Amino acid sequence: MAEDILSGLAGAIRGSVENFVIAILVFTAGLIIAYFVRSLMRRSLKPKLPPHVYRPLELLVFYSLLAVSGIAALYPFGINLSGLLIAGGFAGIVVGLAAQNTLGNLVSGVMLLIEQPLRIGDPVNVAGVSGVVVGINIFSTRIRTWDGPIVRIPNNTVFNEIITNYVRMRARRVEIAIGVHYDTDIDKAIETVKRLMESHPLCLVNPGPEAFVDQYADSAIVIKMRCWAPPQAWFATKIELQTRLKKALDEAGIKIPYPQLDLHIVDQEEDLRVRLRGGLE
Amino acid sequence: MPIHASDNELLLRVPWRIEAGQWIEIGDARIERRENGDLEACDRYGCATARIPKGQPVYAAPIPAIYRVLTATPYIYIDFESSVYIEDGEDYWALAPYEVEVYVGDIAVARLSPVEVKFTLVGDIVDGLLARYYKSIAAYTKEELPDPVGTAVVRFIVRGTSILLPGVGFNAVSTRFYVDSTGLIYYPTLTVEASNGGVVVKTSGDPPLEGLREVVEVRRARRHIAAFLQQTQPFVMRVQVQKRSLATQ
Repeated sequence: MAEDILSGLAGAIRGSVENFVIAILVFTAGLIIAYFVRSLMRRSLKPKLPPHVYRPLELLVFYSLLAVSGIAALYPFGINLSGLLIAGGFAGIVVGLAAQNTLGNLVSGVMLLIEQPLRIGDPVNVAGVSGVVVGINIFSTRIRTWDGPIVRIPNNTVFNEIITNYVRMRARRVEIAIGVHYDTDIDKAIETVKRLMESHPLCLVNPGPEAFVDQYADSAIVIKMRCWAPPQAWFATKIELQTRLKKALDEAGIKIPYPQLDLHIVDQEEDLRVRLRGGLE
Repeated sequence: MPIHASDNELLLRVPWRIEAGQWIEIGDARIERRENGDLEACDRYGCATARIPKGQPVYAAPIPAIYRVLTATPYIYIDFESSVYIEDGEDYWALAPYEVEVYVGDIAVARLSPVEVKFTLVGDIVDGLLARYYKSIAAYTKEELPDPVGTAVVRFIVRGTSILLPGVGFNAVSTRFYVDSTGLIYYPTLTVEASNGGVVVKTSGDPPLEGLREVVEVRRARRHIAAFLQQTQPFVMRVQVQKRSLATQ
């Protein structure tokens, strides 16, 4: 009887020790895998993402793997994990629903940082907000608008909206339309406008500047001028050309007309009386 | 406009050391240091002024032409007046712009362009390269080149297949300059690796001629370059190779 008890006890202890050793081994294996995955993630993400983005990600994966290996280590002790997993899954759904937007922003932020459709310092237009990107983190993107205020846009919105990046191009076209008088020598006007663009240091040689008659409008012949400029100097080039344009046309004797209206009166039987005041002698 | 200075000896010593009461004109660029300590450095795009103590030396040195009027690209493109047919191993000479950096100690006071500044896109709008533009003749010898005012002499050697070159570009960021005994400034030799797909231009760093002196102070300017200009990719240009059509009839 006593022997049976002792042998049972010994067997139970041996079984517990074996289970304990198995649990330790499972957990250690999980730990090694978690460390391996973390270092793998660090090596691949570090060159692409800033530290405040890749560190939370690798920690999330690391602790998730530790939790899985911890749960797996309990299996040899006969603890029923199905209830724990169901509870965990249910808790995950509740947390996921509660933090839907936050998680969406997080995932979008990571995607934005990997794809990099915009970078800090880029002039952009996102969701109708136009300005310079001053910050990108895993939840939101901050844009300083042209008139100063800083707008915070959730990354979910940024990721799903059309993004126009004004600096991710080799050159950007400057386009200005100007109306000249109908008496103007068109060739001379085009030549003057072209010379103005050719003399500007930021109007590219290739693609070359071009000027042409765009429209015969009510009061003026509309000449359109186009030149390509380095994207970061697009605005400066545009305002300089616009400023110098009037002077160049004045120097060439080319008039920019005021709106005009020719009035024709038909079926007028009586004389039309017009009174002029001042200025006439 | 040629190079002038209040003292002709000043022109021969590159970098040019400008004492109080002296001035120097290189093309459109003019640097004047007055007796009262005022320093004025101007080119056709603007002026910079500073007050410098009398005992402090002021220097001007050639730097790569990639800063005026906008630091937008590390490349300089020399557009040849006529395309040049070049075979493997041949060399040609051309002129390329440089800029003048005026500095006091480690501080750059001004950067000036002695010649007109223009930019161009080499290639198409999608994947072309933005480059500082200069039009030059391509000559068989250095002596054929026109008077290089505000420009430096460039020698380029072709390796690979024979090619018809409309121009040549190069990455000028980490370039150095050489000067001869007459004060003439040289870019280092460019190696043009030509193939049917196009050309890759590399800056060798070697002087184009023997007996030239390196302008060591140019290295000072590298401290001030914009971060995005740290790139050292060589200039790559696609050249349309049109093979001769053979009559088969």
